[in-house]
Amino acid sequence: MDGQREPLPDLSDPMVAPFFAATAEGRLTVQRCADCGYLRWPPGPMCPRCQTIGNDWVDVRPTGTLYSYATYHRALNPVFTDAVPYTVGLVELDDGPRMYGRLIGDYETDRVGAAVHAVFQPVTPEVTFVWWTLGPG
Amino acid sequence: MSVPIRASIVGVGATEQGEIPGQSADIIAVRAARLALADAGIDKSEVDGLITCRTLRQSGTDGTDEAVGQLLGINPAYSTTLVYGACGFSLHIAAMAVLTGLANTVLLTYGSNQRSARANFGVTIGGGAEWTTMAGLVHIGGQAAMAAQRHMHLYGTTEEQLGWVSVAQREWAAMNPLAIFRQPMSIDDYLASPYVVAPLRRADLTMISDGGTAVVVTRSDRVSGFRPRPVHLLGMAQQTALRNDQNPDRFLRPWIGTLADSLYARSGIGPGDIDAAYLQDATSVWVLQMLEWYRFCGVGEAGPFLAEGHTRPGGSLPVNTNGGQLSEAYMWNWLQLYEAVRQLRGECGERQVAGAEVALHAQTHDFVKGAGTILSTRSE
Repeated sequence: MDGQREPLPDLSDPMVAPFFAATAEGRLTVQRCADCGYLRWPPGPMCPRCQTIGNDWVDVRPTGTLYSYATYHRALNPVFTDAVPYTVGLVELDDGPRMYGRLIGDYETDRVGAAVHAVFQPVTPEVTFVWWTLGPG
Repeated sequence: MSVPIRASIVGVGATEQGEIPGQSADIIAVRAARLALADAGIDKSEVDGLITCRTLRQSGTDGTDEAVGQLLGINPAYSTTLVYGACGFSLHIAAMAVLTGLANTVLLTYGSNQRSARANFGVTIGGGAEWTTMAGLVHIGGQAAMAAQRHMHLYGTTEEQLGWVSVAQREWAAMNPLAIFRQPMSIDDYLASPYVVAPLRRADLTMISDGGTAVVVTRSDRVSGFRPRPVHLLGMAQQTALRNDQNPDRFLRPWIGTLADSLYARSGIGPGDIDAAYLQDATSVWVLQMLEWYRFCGVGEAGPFLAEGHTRPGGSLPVNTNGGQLSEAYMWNWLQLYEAVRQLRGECGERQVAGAEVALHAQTHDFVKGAGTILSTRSE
């Protein structure tokens, strides 16, 4: 179906490109405030803690704790029609920021609070998504 | 001691709800406005304040005071529009307008044709939207499901307990001729229905419908100029969580508790004084959370509280006696205000809460902010 593909990142966007350059190499990276050092997610041009403009991108550990998750049995946006059922989680990284991502594995029993680790999942030749699976990695 | 001057609701109106093909949201808003003016017993020439609201999905001037005022044919002294002007926030602006003297008689109106216009709710809007969409976290139902899953983990809340939100509201809706979903739904029906986004089912998520609602607000020292028995705003409070994604426990919305404590302190009303509660229900999870944060039960205890039947017809705390967004109509809590006023005026027929004198109207805008109001026919 035309126009019904899962969304891909805009790799020309400087708020987006460094993240996917890293994932292609199997690294997880987030923005660090150039002044106060706050690690932020999602990316943005200004630090939400100290309002400094600008940042570095730094690697963080690809491990965290599952804060919660939801399993889509119906595609609430038609671009995910081929993906259902699928599970999305909110991961609290061991290095601080919270990040949404697709989960791989069985979530029918309560997995909140479980250790998870990143899986670098190529979806196109240019784009590797960060998915997550159970276990400390 | 003299009675303080308050803002008071002196008129309410609602159009039919459901599908209204061929009418713009603004036309629906104006039709609702005329019904509220008729209820108030005044002519539109007496309106000197207008507050409209619009959705993030509307474009141009649609839904603005400019567009609605022109259609309604009025030149009020004061007018404004709230984007995401869901009812509780708009109501507080009306109160500020009449209490500061910017206006004496404020008309608030909201119209929606989002069902007929086939609005796309599968798109995440606002901060971080493209990242959440790429993750597949689309529609408010997904985030509500995460909130429910977290509650279940922390407190042992069960799907059956959560189901009583929707089942109780359906029981109320069955007695409301305005409600769209009135067919019986038992807890077994609920549990037998498929997941949409687990642990939530269709009945846990708002419907999308067309309709309009309007309200007239004045000052309590001017209520004699209006036909109905006035309903006074005994207290108002708001709290934001604008840091949004950067807030820990974003999904659990603990800041609603801060809001509630301010509201009770300002109004001199406590949770035990409330005869009926109107808790905005984009999803059933919002009701679960607000029962706790508004102190009707302890934090983590809303599951058992619901299963004990307190919110059902005949229960100790009637909740969303119109059926809410889950069973009545998609009106962003405007119809809950309409219902609260009519319950306090004693006009709700079969579903009337006997002797209702004090109501809570509680609004939230997802994970971003909330507004609470204590309403009463008593002026103090």
